[in-house]
Amino acid sequence: MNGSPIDPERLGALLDGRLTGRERAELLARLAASDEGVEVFADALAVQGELEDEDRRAAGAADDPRVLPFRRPARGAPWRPGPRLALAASVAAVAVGMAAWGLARRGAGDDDPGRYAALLARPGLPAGWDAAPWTAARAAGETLDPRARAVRVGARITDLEAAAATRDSVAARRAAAEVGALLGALPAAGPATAVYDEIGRRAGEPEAARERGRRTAARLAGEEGVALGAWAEAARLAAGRRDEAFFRARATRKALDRAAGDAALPPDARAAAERIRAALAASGAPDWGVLEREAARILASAGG
Amino acid sequence: MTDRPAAERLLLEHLPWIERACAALARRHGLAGDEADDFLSWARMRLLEDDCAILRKFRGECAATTYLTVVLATLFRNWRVREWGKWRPSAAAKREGPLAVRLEALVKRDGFRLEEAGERLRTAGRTTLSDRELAALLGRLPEHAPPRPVAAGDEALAAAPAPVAADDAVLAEEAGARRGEAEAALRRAVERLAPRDQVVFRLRFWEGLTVAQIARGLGVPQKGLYRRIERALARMRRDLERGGVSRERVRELLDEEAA
Repeated sequence: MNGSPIDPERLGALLDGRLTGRERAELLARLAASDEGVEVFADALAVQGELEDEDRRAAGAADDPRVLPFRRPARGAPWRPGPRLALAASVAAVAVGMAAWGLARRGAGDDDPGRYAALLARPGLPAGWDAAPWTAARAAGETLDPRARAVRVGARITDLEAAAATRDSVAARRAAAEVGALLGALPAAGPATAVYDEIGRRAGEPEAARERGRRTAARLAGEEGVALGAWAEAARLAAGRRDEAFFRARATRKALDRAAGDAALPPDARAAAERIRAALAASGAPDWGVLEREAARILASAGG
Repeated sequence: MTDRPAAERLLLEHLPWIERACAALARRHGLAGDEADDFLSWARMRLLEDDCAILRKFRGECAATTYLTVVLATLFRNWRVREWGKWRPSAAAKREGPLAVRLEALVKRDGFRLEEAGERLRTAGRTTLSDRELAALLGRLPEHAPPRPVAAGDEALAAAPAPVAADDAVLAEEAGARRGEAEAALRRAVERLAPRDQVVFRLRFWEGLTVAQIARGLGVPQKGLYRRIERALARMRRDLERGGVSRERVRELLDEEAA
């Protein structure tokens, strides 16, 4: 079994999760008929995994506070703080604790598109998360309206955050690859796509790289569109998991108000936002089916 | 398609990655120090050749590092064919790890006796295992085709073991023929699987990758992949038995692969 040589870049795109379902099936059929192709793919996969693991270990060692050098007192009795210093330390600890609690509740900053994923009570992605609502989400060279591209970037940023929160490395790599591909078509996108290449290679880690990526992506693709996509995708995921806290959050209400009143949005998307508002205002438990369907409709309409 | 200055930049920016990838490929295929250096120099030459023609082909459809990794894996295959002919490490050796790959290469490719191979590995600091332990490791690896011919002096001929008895040679030939037929049947059974299952089977059992590695490479959940492999193995068992391969031989073949 030996077919014609397979384009290395197609094999690379398969490894990076950048092929559509049909493209992947076609390439696997060609691989099945090529001893050389399987061998090269296996070597590349093994080598890439090994180097990524090395990088991850190196990054982990750098980030892990447990490996910071710890110097013991030179000699004499173990050092203990005096009573006044102990009191001051206690006050400082309480202050730091309150600040950290506030930050944790607030999640990421107000201009960070990752803030909506941070609200999800149960992160993680359902099966087939990347199949909808667009049919050609991975086409890097696709002609897209800038706002629609921004919405898609935002949605995939939320997916990346949701995957990273549950250490789903496969989904994280795929989401990062899609963000990179969507940004790749924009002018001067080199640094941003490099950041997402790196995030993909490290399977979504570490958080500092993702934060840098989110802010760069929002600046490049358009902050409003990215924020809308990030919120709508988070709303879709939250509705699928009956996450009431997400819909009660102030950030959700604000995003919903913005979407319903945004004249630049397609009428379908605005109407969908209105229906979500109405479903949330109704008494009793929200209709989760409506919330999920309408959030997907916003994505399909604004990101289509 | 990338222009020449961009291709050169790509090369320069990724030199550390290229060196690490070449070293990882060398480990995977059991290359020793000089051989690994030789491959790295050769690969770098190929990347520079014809105004970086290979790198100029990069269209940006995948990450640059992924592209380079696939290109280097292809170059490694070319280098290996040039240097070693058809010899390649077994999947079993790859599964056992770099020491097994190196041991197999020394004994089965380069024709060293086990004690000589052990001595080399210990001197190079690659193992502290005794010859007996290395023999056990070698015993877990499959038989290969004879190593490539090497020039042998009088000394080597004097040290060579006495030829085996004629009966042994005939028996070995018959066993080899039976094994060849069974392996051909196994290959036909693999070819009858769905394309995706064929790729998974070959990556798992012939290339020695773990299920986790395959799941990562194909972007599929690991749990589902285990079930897929089980189903493929069950189907191949049925196919082989229907094709006249005895149940015992099937078990031997597939258990060998599944080990």
